[in-house]
Amino acid sequence: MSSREGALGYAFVSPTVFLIVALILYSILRGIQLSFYDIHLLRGGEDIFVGFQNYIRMANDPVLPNVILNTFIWIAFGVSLTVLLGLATALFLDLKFRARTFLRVVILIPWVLPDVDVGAIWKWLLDTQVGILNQFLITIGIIKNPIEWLSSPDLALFSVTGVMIWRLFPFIGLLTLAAMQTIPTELYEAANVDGASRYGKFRHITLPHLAFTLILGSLILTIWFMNNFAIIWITTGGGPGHATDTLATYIYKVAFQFLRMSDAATISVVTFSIIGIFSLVYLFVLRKYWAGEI
Amino acid sequence: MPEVKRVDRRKFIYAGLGAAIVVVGGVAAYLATRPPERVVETVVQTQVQTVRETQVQTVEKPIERVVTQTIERPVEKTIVTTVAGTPTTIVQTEVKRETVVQTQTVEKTVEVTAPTTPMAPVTLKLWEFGGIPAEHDHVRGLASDYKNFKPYVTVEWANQDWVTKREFLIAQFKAGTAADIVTQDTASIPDFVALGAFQPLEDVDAEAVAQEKKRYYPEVWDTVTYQGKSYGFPTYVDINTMYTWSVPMLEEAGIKPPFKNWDDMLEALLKLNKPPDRYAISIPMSQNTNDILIFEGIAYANGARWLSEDGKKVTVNTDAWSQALQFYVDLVNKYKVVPPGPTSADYFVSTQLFFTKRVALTVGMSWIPALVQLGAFALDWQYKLAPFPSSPYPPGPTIPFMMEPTTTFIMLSSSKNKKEALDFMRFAIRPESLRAWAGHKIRGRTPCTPEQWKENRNPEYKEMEQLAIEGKLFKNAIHVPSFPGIVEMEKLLGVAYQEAVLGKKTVKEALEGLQRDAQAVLDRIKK
Amino acid sequence: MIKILKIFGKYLIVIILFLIIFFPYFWLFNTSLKEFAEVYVLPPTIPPKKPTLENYYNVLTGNTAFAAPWPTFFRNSIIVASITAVLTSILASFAGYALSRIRMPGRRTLLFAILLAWMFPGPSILIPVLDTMKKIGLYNSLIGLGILHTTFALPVATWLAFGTFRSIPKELEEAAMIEGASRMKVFLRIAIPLGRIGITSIALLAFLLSWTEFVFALVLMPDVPNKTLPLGLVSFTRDYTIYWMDTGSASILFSLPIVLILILAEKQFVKGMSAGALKA
Repeated sequence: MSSREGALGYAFVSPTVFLIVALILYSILRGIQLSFYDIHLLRGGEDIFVGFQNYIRMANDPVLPNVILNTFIWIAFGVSLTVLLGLATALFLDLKFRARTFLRVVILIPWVLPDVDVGAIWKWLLDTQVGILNQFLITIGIIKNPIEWLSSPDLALFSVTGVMIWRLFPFIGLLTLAAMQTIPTELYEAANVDGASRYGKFRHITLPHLAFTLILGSLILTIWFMNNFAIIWITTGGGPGHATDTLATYIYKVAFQFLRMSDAATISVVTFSIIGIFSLVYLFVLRKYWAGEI
Repeated sequence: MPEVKRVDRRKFIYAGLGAAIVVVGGVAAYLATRPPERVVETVVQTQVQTVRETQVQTVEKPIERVVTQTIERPVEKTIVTTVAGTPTTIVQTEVKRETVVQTQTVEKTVEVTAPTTPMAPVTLKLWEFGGIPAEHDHVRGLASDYKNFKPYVTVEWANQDWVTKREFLIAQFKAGTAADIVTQDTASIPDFVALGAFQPLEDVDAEAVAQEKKRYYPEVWDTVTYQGKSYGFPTYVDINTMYTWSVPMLEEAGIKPPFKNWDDMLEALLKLNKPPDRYAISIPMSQNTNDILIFEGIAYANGARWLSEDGKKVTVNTDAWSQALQFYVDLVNKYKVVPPGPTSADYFVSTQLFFTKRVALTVGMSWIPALVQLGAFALDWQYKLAPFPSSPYPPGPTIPFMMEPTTTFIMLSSSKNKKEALDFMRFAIRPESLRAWAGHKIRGRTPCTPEQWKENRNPEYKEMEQLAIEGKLFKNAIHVPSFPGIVEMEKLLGVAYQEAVLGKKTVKEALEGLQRDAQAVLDRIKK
Repeated sequence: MIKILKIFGKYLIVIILFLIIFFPYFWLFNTSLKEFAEVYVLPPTIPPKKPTLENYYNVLTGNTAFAAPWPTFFRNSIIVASITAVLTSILASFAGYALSRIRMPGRRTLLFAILLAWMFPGPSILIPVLDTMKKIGLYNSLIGLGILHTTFALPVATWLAFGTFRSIPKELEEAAMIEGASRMKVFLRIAIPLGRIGITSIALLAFLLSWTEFVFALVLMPDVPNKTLPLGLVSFTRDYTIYWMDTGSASILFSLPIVLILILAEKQFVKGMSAGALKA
């Protein structure tokens, strides 16, 4: 291959890189820069370069450990359940039955409404007193007293995670379903000849073929969960107490409610580093699945 | 896996290192080459003079129209009389006199200008945040009517989302794309002044502001005053905190509000409590700002204050605060007179519970009638409101209530046509416009000027009317807490009261924690 | 007997899935048929006492409480989402092809860096992005919002395109190149046609991302004639109450075009996803 071709390659990539650099990279760098200055919009005055002081102060923030723990739970439960539910949905939609085509289409519907709308709807549905879900469960006699979906600090985080799963599992389901379509049928036929069990076929043929999809899918999900604030913001606003505050909602609060811009930038950089390092390790472990030779 | 070769491990590490170096290098280069940008921009006043100089006499015609318009409304005035019970003649003279003032000021600007060149067209952007439909119609109408008043000025009205108003306005101001005039709540004035976003009106035209100031109750004008300057023209005030009761339910139980104090109230609540079908009272306790303000109102009425006199120390660990919080906690946990799950019940939910007869009382502000006007609830029964009382022995100075004008016309410092913007703002609060907020077009808003009260058409506020006309209603009433950092402290308070109500912390622990955190907020700003 | 049970089980799962997905929609639909005074009645009424289609009519004619011009919002969203879909699929195809086929140093670094650009928390870049957009004159412009949405969609889209082209057998291209075809020609004549299904799905994904984006649309579009559908939807959430009957009917009207596209593109989409990257 000639160097001319390499140049062509760069030319192909350059518009994408240009857009990202022009519109996002500047903003990211600005964010990183802010984290080294002391900027509090309510104080005004000169912006002072403070080095790592913001990081030290954030390390001593009494709320942050709890917030990081929440984020961890939110991502761990959210991503794993979304992937499991998505996988189950895909396996199911792969079966042959009436209404399959229809279901394959409508399953994406939770994806069509904006986050803010989804949050508002679920807040209403899950409300302890006036929510339709509790009303329904009480009417059919499953529960006697209303369940405090969003008002109990022990339950709220799981409720909002459920909402996010509702929103995202169809995406993973369809992604997996699509990957399943590419498994050559000969493999299953051969397995049938060998008299393999249903589970055996799943374990040795389906799963290895889906591994990459599920792994890349969960990376995408992890990033989505990490940075999604609208759902939590609308449903609980981070409450009760700090029970549902995640890094994303906390950044939002610090930036736009408290106007501590450099603190928000600092937490953003920390978040960015966590997710960046995680992805790097993740992609490194899985390098043989994606970084193929040309 | 077809023919995917194992990738060299080292290559991958290089890739990662490469990415890291690019990022770090970029940051370093960026930091090295770019001087830090000042975040707070100082906006230069430009062009105001030239615009003024090009004004022409065509203004005169519309002025006549304004005058005739006001005089042409005898019908409305008679209606006013029946509702307000004030002599018709007084109202009429009142209106006429105000109109004269209006025309005089406008004529003055005409005199000053040299009517030689044709008018340079001016466009003013007006962002109305939130509001109810009737309010929209009214404010949009003001914007379009202004064309008749000053033909060369176009006011572009846009309604903006209420829930995201703070972040929206900050982002727009930072990018230099904000409107000339906004309607905002007054509690955010200190924050936006610290940002440099709001324009002190005296710096535009001190005389005009002094004239408008005379029309308001002094306590109301205090809400738009910060560090000796005025920042906006209120249209009404929300009164905070008020409880609302269902007249039939309380009559049935033989209870006669208003309550003298908390004990009095508690006794009634226990009588009214019939769970699970009907609880006594719904109290919103989510982290919504409104809900936090409602609690603040109760605490303040009990003598609590956020800050010491000199404004340097946070004082939330006082008895006045802890009594109020203990009262909340007891209502929920000890007496169980509040429906379960109050920590997610925002003011939407708690008023819904009230209007659907799930509770006998609810706690909120004076806007509750606005909900009925919206048509959200069809009522065939009566309800009444009264300011929330204090404990029997309040440990601090009590207040009748707190107030906040949530639709206040405010000018942004980035406006390029400050004089014109101020003229429009004055147009928006002419007597015939302010009247709309006194129940003529828009319900559920407490009037905030004597002239509005004389024309009040909100039957729910009948009890307050006489007091207001006598000038006693707002006596000792104060603005909702409003100083730089209050928004963050209020969010902390929201967390603190939820943790106390949920039993995660005792009242003392919650308030001590709040004291520490709030003091830190204050210190960081003062530093 | 077992067979019947199996079929029964299948349809039971279908129904449960259906319920999970549609529960909120069902409730929105039910509410959208109500009058305002019935929306907040407790216990809630199913079905509505006085069902009416008025809300749909109001939304379509902009006659709702806040006079939101829905036809305008709809047009704006279509424009922005289409710009995003077209631009994203074109740019991502070029980038994805180069990254999967052309030997060049720093290929993997680039791939990772592109993904990295997607990870920075949104609230922190809101003001700088708004600032940049204003400086380059794309503030308050539909094209500007389309370009911004393209930029946000590109990282995922590039990765999907990367996978799409990687899964196409190389042999065809190599044969063509031995016969003297240029790389550009190979890309346009062989790779694009073979990968078109994957590219379609990328376009659809980009369309959806733009169709639902809220925060940046909010700050970039202060003027009513430029607002998009998500902003219109949120406008029914007011300071005192939520106009659920309007939100409900608007949400359903809002979803319809997408569902229509999905039905038309179902086969393409499912297949496209499979071609798209996700096969090892």
